[in-house]
Amino acid sequence: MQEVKKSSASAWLVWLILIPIFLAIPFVLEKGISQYYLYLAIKVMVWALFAMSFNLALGYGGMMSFGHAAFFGIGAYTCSLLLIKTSCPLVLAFAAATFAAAAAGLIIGYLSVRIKGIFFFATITLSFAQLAYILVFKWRSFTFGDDGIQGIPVPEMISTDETYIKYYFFALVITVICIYLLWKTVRSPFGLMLRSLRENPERAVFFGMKVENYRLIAFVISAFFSGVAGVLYAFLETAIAPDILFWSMSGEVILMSVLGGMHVFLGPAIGAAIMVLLNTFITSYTEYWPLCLGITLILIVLFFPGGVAGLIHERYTIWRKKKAT
Amino acid sequence: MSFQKKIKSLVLFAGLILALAVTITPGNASGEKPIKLGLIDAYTGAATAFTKPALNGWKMAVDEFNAKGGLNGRKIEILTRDSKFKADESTGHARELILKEGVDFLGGTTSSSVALAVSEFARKKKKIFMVSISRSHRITGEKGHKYIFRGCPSADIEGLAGGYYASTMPFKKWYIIGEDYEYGHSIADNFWKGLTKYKPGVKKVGEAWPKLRETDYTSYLTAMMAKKPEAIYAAFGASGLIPFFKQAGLFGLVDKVPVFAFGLGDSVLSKVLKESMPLGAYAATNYLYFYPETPANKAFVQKCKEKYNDPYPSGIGIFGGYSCGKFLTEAILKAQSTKTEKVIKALEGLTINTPIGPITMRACDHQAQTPAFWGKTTKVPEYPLATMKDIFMTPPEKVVPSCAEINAARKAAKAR
Repeated sequence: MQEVKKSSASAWLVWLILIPIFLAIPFVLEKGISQYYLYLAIKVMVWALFAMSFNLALGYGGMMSFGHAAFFGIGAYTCSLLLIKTSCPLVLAFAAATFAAAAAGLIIGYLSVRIKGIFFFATITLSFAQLAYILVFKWRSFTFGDDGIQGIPVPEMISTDETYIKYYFFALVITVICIYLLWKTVRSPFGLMLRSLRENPERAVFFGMKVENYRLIAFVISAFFSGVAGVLYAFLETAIAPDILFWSMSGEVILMSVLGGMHVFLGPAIGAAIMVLLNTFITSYTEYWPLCLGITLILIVLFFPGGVAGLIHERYTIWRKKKAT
Repeated sequence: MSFQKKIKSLVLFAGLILALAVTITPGNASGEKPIKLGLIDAYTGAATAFTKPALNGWKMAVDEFNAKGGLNGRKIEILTRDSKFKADESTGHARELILKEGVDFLGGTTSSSVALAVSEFARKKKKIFMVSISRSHRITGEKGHKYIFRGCPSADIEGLAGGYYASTMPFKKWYIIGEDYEYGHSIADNFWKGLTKYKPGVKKVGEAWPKLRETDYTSYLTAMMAKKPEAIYAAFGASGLIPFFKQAGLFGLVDKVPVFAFGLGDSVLSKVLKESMPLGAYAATNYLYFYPETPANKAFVQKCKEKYNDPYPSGIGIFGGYSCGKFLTEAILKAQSTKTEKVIKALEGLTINTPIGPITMRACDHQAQTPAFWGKTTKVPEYPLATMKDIFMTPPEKVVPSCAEINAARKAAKAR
């Protein structure tokens, strides 16, 4: 009993420290250093949400999806096209975009979750995602083809024209809500079932679980939140191009999860932060960024196979044990 | 500590130091404040065949400006950022360059989606953005605005120039083959517009749109010949021309029927295609190192050879970059300022002297009025690469969309 009280007290302490930090970040970065760093902070947030929603499929569902760029891109494109071509209000466009992503997740998921084996699953999701990419790329009259969409009309309330602070809070609130929902999902009985299924599908079947249904639901939830990340991305950049649906985007999000640690809830978010910041700073300094990025990734994968968050988690557990004894 | 643990902590430590070093390294903070020019382009990957020479072109113009003392002693400093050919990557760099580095001007871009995305950001931040390779007509057309300029040709100028040149030929039955992406369609549509304008009565016997980066054109080639066209127009981007003409060469296409292709005349193509470069094809580009044989052009080629080890400079690359750099530096000198509004005023209607003669930046759409050089590919003993004969320069005033057309397109885009 005392243990529980103690841990909830320390959780409160963590929140007490975290909340002021998150509130102060935009003012410190934009007023103190440069607007650019606030933009980077938001970019990290968007990618963190994308990586974490993807990780629901990979880390918890054991589904190596190579097609998550499609959901991200469908979210971004649906929202942008609705705002550009119709006078649809923002809330409606946002909702429509995330449901479009979830619907795409349902269709692709329905056709792929039955497939056993990481390699085949990756291949089929990759093919579907590339299909979406080609559709956006070639349908020039509707999607503007490879020229992409520019000047997405973002409402004044969250516009980034003058300052990024308003948008920071908008993105922060949505990201926190989404992460909370994801946390609830993985902690729920459904989440536990999903994990048991990842570890030992045969046994789960003997318990009477319908494997496909669980995997499908997880896949759709994951697609939904990827769509949310896509919309946040479109508002941040105000310009999108078909390459956000390209397979390399799916690859990036896989890397983030692996790098951060796919078996720790916040792992992919850490991976996203590392990837976005490394990518930004290295490309500003040298033309040989692929070399630097590659070496860093190899070192991390070789020495910290559980990812960066995995390492922290491991250290933390050891420390706790030591303290207890 | 075990060996593995030691390595682990070493890696961690090195990573920390590196991260710190990268994030806190201060910028240049000495002497007179330089004028900062930020160039964003695909400096890694397949496009470097064009982007690296274009960067050299920019450098050449900037060096000329700096050598003459700059703007009252202020020199231009170039900062480059790799776009990786991705739109989001480039807007990230544009933000960094403007918000953090505080650049005065932006330039560069090869991919049109990258150009449009950066252009949108430049408009918001009220900074001049000079496009040096991207061709989409939308950039200075319907998506054009006060802050965007283009010192290289646009797809509609290139297409219309082809149509104008083709109208001087006797061929009546045409077949169009093009790459199925924005540039391919844009240049083909404008070719047909130009051709039908100056020669009514021509007929299109067919068209084909193989996918971008197609590797096998055999079926397209046979289907094309079955339609018995009198001439063929190939609407490909520079990178697509390479596999197409390699296979067309094996097929003997150029010996069977006259083929017209913009971009094929560029020295990059003859450098890459080497022996597969089709001879007797009708080709064009926006700059030729062997024509016109004026002292200005010879001096330019000599400079490219000495400074950048590039004895056969290309139009898409080095000449495009040089023209852009020249426009910008001349405008800065004319305005005697680096203030955006003043430089825009100076740029509008500015005529620069280039190795191929004067080029004007049109005030109404901020598009450089570039000529095109058409001719028949051939081989001469003076040069190791294929060159062109019977060269025909299309006059810019005949092949650019009118200001009225541009305004109408912009209005229509706004109403949508």
